[in-house]
Amino acid sequence: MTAALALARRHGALAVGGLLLAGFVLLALCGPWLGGADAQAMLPGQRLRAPSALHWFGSDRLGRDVFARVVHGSGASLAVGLAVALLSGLVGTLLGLLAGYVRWLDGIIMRVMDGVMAIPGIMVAIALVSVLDAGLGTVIAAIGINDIPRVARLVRGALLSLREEPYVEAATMLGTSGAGIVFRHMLPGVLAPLAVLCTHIAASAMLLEATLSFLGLGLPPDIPSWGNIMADGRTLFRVAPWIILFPGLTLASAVFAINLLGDGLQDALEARRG
Amino acid sequence: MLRFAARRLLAALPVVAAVSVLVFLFLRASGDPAAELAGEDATPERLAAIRAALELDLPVWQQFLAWLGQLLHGEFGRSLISGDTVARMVGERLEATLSLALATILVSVLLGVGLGMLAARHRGGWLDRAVGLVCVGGFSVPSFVVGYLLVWWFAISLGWLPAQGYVRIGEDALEWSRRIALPAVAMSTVFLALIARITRASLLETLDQDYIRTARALGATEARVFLRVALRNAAVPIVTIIGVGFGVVLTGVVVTETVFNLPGLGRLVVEAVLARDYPVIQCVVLLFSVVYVLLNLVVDLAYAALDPRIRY
Amino acid sequence: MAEPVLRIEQLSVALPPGAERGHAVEAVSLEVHAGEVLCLVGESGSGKSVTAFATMGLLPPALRITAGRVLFHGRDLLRLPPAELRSLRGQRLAMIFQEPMTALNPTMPAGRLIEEPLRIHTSLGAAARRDRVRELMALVRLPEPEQLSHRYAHELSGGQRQRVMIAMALALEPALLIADEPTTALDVTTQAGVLALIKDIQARTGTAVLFVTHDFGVVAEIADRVAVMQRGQVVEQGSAEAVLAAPQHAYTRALLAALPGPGNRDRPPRPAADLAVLEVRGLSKTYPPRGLGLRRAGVAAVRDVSLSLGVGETLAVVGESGSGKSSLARCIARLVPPSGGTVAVAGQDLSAPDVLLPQLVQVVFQDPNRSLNPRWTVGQSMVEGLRNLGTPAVEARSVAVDLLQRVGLGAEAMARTPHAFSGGQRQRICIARALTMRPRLLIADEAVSALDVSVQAQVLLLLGSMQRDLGFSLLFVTHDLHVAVQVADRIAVMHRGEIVEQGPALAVFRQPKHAYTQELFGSAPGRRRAWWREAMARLD
Repeated sequence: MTAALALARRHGALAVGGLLLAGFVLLALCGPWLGGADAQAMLPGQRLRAPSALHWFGSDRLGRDVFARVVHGSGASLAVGLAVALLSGLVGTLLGLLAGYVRWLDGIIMRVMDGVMAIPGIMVAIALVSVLDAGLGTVIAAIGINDIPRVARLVRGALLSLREEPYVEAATMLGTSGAGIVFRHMLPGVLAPLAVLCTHIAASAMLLEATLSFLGLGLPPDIPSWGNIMADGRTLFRVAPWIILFPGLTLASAVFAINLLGDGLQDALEARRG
Repeated sequence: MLRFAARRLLAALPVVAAVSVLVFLFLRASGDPAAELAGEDATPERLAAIRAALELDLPVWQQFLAWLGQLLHGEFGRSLISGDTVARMVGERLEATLSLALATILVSVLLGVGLGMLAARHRGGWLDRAVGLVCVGGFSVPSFVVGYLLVWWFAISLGWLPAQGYVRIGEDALEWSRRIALPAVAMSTVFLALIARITRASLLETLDQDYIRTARALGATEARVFLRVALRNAAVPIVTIIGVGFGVVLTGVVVTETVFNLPGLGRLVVEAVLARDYPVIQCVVLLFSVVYVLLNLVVDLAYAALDPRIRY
Repeated sequence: MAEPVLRIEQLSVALPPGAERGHAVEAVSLEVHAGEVLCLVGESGSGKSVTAFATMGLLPPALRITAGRVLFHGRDLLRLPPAELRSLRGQRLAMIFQEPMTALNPTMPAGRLIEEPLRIHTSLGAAARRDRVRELMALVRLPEPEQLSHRYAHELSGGQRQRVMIAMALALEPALLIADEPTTALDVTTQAGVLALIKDIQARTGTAVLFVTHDFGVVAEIADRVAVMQRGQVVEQGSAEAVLAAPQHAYTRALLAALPGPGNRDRPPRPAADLAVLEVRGLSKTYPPRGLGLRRAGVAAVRDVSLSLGVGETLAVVGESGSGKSSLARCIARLVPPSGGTVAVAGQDLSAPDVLLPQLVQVVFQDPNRSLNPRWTVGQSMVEGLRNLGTPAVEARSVAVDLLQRVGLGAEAMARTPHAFSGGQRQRICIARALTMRPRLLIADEAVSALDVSVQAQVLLLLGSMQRDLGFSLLFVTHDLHVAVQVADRIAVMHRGEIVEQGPALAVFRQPKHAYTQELFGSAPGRRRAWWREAMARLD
């Protein structure tokens, strides 16, 4: 415990980011039981109310409480971030390992990665969403594809530089198999930067999901993700700016927490290495 | 230098090829264009006729080559909705997008490099930490939320600037700049944060190098060490990130044009997706991708000029 | 006696809290007079470089000067306003560094680099500056100044880079030149040229030189006076001949006794054994050209090398950087595939698919800091090879502990990570790890080059005794011919990918036949001084 405290004091960003994110996760998990207004309850008498003690974030055009919807929607937004980070982390690592270890695959995989990277992320997502049916899985895949090359490049680059390390060569001389070298010597060295990259991927995935949903190209409207709530407020911005601003700021602070966590993690790892 | 440029251009070709294959496959995956054209209650005979007319009965690779040939002749197809040629639609929308992108790049590069230098100069101080926080904030707030905040503050509350819409620069340059100001600032937040952060990191890394010590040993002033030696050597990563950041700008274009109701390519593609207008989507995606590849090519050339160690 | 150019009085520099000792430099006093070279010699961590950097006012912020004065022509540099100190630096005080590749701004061409001090400190016009750059390039004997002045650091050779560095330092004719290990990164033949240049310029201009080095040969070559440092203190000071030929302090004597050479052999060279453990026939290695260029041919690192090595024999392969000696070792160990030729160990062709390479060949690498997986305990690293062979864990562990004890470490080392050990200890662990496989051939690729001279002596002794106990053959790759002649039965000299001379160690060392070998051996620093040759011969 004291060690954790000392760590927290030394790495402020890590602690603040971690705590904030923990708060959001708690909110997402316990939101439905937190009480307060029902997210789907439409109160015709309470349409487009400005923020007040009753409606902290105001109410929308159907009279639904925006705060309740934001709490309710936090799960979807966080889930997209987590799922994209996991998906691109796993697939990217696999491709990076193959490219870094199987020489003849290297050229093929990395050219495809270059190709994917050459299409701006939002264009890939737009293209996929327009072809496939809108749904949670589609959105996660569409966003995840953009980040796979970043992970693959990181893993491959680390593998290529580690391959030159004398301790890896020594392991080869001791008769350790290729798989043993990759999984026991090389991969553990990549995990730390990979974790940092994945937090940043989660953060940018949440932003991209919100952007797509806001444009009407993301999650189906019946999922109250933060992006969808904001999309509801688009035409009403002059009368009811809170429908966009409050979910927007909530999203921003969640993403801020994750970014802070990632930066803190990176600083902590650098400090440990140095 | 010319040989290097030629080599890089050659190296970019496979990427462009990969992109066009991906876009083409996307078109194939998007369903049967014949069915789309024929309508819902078409007879099988009519479908087959349309397929033959569109050469959809040929093998896929021949279709691909035919499609490439059309592209090279400047034929980008027609909108399924309006029937206009895609080329004309894109042409009409180009100015707004270009204005927005250029204004954004200008603002972001100037402010980003400036903030990064400030942070590096005051390493570990409160200014450094403040810039760091601003950067994390810049990464975290979606640009359309920034856009709405700006509209709410400057257009609705203060009434200084128009909230939405676009005026061509040829019609009224002053009004054009008033219309472009808020969206450009909104789009700049992420890009600026990206540049400021890299500038700081790159400068700090450079300041740790042995040749900085050499410059000090020669009696150079701190200003000379910082500006003439460190900044010059830190330039390559900064320029690289500017290239990567073009992707961020393109994302910003799509959403910001919607927020500010600007008639640009971003709006075009969003409308096309909502209407399932595949030829338009395909063309704009391809255009953005090729522009992105070309911009990165320019960046590559720029850093070969900046760093004498990069030679091919 | 005239006022010294530099007088350091009772200088102390504190290390940050938590370091292994309180001070990097403790109460050091030195004098450097006009026209003399004072060598500051010591092992790593002795405080010699910190003293030099403190004099220039270039200490890293973590190191704090706690006491003393640094008087330059009577003015205390430590108490000078920053602006005044800055105007002295580069003008009256100049410094050259160890690694000229990283010390030169990579984005400025050589001519512009040499011009830099002129731009900073003078108001000379462009034409006058250009003339002075031309003069300086001639002074440091850089050929073809017209072309060289447009080249960047990475396009120059190591010797040329250091000459550019020297030209920059001398641009404004400083009264004091501080040189921090300026030839350590250079090959021995290049080093000879740079040392001769410094000595020559110093004799002509009367500049005082404070020369920091770890190499006693370099000291003998260049020093007028010597100060020996140990753990932050000057333990002995005097004329070069007095200190090196008749050292008074025990530490100096120990250092000199540890210097590698034929005198430190632990056994007489053996005649070549009949039974060959290693047979190399016509080995060559050509690296493919980089990039996509079609016209560029590959680089031939090893050309048609043949050699053999008997049971329990040691062969030293000596060469400068780029001679192909490391490529040769890596081809033999099959870390890189050879382009041609055959390698057989104990009669088995190593290119055969079913050969059990780990039990035939093991390698000890140069850098002990990178040779052990930093995330693993020493125990994990020690048993890795045996576990790969299917040895049960308990047995593997007992073999590992036994070998660790033989190399002078205890069983408790097994549980620690490499961070807990010094460079010398790590290299012992690496040797022990290689020997867990009981290889027939051990390749040591510059295995002692990164170590201080006293540690180096211990590791060399250890290698010898392990070889006697276990009976492996040793292929010892090194750039240092004194090390070679100390450990080897035979020496093979490599130059441009070929073995130019091969023979019994002492014969090659005393009567080199090939012109390149003669040049290489003749470049060894200190050879010109009779008293040094005598001192070394006495050690032999």
